[in-house]
Amino acid sequence: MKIALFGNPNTGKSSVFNLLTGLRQQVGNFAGSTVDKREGFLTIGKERYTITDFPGAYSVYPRSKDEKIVYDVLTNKNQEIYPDVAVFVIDAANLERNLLFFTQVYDLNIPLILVLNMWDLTAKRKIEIDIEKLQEAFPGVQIVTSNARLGFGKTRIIQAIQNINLEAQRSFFIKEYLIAEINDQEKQITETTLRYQKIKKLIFEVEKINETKTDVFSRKIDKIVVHPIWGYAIFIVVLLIIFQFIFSFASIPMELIDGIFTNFAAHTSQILPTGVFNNLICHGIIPGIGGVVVFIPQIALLFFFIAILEETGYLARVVFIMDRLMRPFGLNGKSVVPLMSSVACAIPAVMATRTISNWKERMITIFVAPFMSCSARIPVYTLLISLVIPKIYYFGFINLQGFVLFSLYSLGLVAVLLVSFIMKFIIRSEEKGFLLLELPSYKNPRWTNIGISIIEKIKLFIFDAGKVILAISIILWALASYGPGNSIEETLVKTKELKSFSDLNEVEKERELASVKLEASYIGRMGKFIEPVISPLGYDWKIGISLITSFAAREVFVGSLATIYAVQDDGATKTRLIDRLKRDRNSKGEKTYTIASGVSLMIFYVFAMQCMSTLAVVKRETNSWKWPLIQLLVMGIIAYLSAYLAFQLLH
Amino acid sequence: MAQTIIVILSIIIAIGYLLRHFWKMLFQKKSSCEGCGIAKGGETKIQP
Amino acid sequence: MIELSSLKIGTKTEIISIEHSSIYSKLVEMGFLVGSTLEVVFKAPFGDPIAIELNGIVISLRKDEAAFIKVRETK
Repeated sequence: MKIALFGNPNTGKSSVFNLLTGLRQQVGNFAGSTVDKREGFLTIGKERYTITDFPGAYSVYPRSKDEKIVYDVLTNKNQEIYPDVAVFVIDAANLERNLLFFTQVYDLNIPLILVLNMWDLTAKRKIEIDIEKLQEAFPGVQIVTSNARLGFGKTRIIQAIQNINLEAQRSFFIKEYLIAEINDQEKQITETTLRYQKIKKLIFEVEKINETKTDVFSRKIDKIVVHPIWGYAIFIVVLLIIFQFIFSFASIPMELIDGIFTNFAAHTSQILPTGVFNNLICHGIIPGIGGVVVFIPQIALLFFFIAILEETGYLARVVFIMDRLMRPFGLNGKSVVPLMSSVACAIPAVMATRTISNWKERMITIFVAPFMSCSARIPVYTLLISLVIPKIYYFGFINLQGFVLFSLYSLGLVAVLLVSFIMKFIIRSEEKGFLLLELPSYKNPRWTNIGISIIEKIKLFIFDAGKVILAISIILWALASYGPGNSIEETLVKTKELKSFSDLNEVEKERELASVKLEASYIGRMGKFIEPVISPLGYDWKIGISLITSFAAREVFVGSLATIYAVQDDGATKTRLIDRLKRDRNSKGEKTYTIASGVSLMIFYVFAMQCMSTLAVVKRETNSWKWPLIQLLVMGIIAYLSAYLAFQLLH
Repeated sequence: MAQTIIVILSIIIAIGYLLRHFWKMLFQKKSSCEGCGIAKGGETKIQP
Repeated sequence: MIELSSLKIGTKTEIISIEHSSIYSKLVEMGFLVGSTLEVVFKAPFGDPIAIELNGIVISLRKDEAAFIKVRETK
């Protein structure tokens, strides 16, 4: 049996969903659309119910992509997705407005259960609801109360589901209701006004407010949060705290993991019989994966903070105070959310732009969001900074390395603002943007929920992104260990014959041979092929290879380097990647990684178009190849020029 | 010998997997980066 | 008739009419109806957007969006 969850946004619908499905849920998408669909299962005795969580909507009539899903589903009884039972979740403290959508669904005669959620708030705010009278107005609907956040109401809702009468014929709230055509705004408005008139009368009989409905607590907090000075100060402090956690505190577990992997590789190479397989594992797979796993602590922290900002309701306030500042740049206050999400990953950021109804504002946001440095770039930045930026402290506590990192992020932000500003004049649009945003009351975050969801997401990351990275590591290893025909053998022989070679000691001889072998391999050749293009930026062919592979996924940059250098090294020594990089010299004998080349590379990464996945999502969300390709080109050019400048200036 | 076979197999599987992955991503209408945990982790919602 | 956005924080008002505009239907759905009470609860820095309370829910409006809502002060 199919159950659907409907309701206004901010009613705790997702809490009800979690309450009923526990963790037995999965995310997919609604057919023919890119809107996420959350589906879960509930088993009661022998019956198994599918529960689908629909996006929150204020009315059947859609004003955004999310809401359109609801409209599409409810207007077509013959679809597979049409629910057998609808569970409608209402914020009991806001009955009047919630009833608009409710009465519309009621009039569609779907077997219905009404859940008065957030029931505890009605007591707190001294609102009395006469459930019996409410029941009289909606015969055939089972009404239950709940406080899903705290876990109350599950049994009642389940009972209601079990008692549902699938055949019940019902009356109409608005006589013989028919959903109006999607474009018939006049009809929709008339219907809505009619409904509200009837609802107002009903409310009068059903609801009694003994004080005011105001959430005094939230109001008090908002006085500070929205203050012209304190508001922004708080926002900046919040950002700094998040920054500090992710970059300083996360380094402890990170170093731990790094050590574990290096040891593991060295250990394994001695256990396994020597040979090709041994090579593959110790020089290809383990370093490749290790390069990624190392960043899990940081990613977990990032998820954590984003979840808290959203759950507490603070995020809406950020949108509120930033709106006026965003508008001169052609952005909307709502653009703040994608821009912040982008720091985790540009993909959900691009999807988050769906809440921006104005096409121009939305396009600009999509175009500039990837300039915000995403988490996949963190490994690249961290590695390069520790490689080339000295560990100096100014005034005792300002860390040069930390400062450079901060500047990289700021550079991204500057790019966002500049590019948006330019695009504001290039793109033409007649429609005006609007804000019209609900500011939910402040709530305590649901800690266990957040914890569980983070663990789930990390698991997903390891297994799914992990598979891609594993595959790439394997291929990379193969390309780095083999060359066309006999080229590798020949080069090795030639090198051994050089006079300069016999002057080296044993260890150096090993390294030289490995290095030469790498250059002669497939990947060496590919890298050397593009070297002329990238050497003005200060990069050598090994970096070139990593640049290419990281287009598949930015995290792969470090993994690629790890593989390349591991292949080059003899593997039995426990040298960490960063030490190998420090030692590296290019064909001219100079150090490969200097301040100039390092900074140039960092800047390149700030601006260059992200991974293929972002390209794919932009294409999907904009429904054409035009935008993502322009984006790729523009970002690529900016990246190249800036990196070139940086290198030439610092050299 | 066995070793070489395993290695070659892994390479072929890896290539096949990647090709399929990118094909799906670029040309199918699947929502979100196929379970790339980072993408899921960054999701937030403010109402429409 | 007064400009909603020019009112002081704490002012209670009643909606007299709503001008038709591209966001008219959205406003109506969110509960902005003739006769409803609106209270101005706070304003963003620069006075734009403003936040009003309608039926216990706080909603933010840009100055130009608020201009479509005609109100009169109540006690």
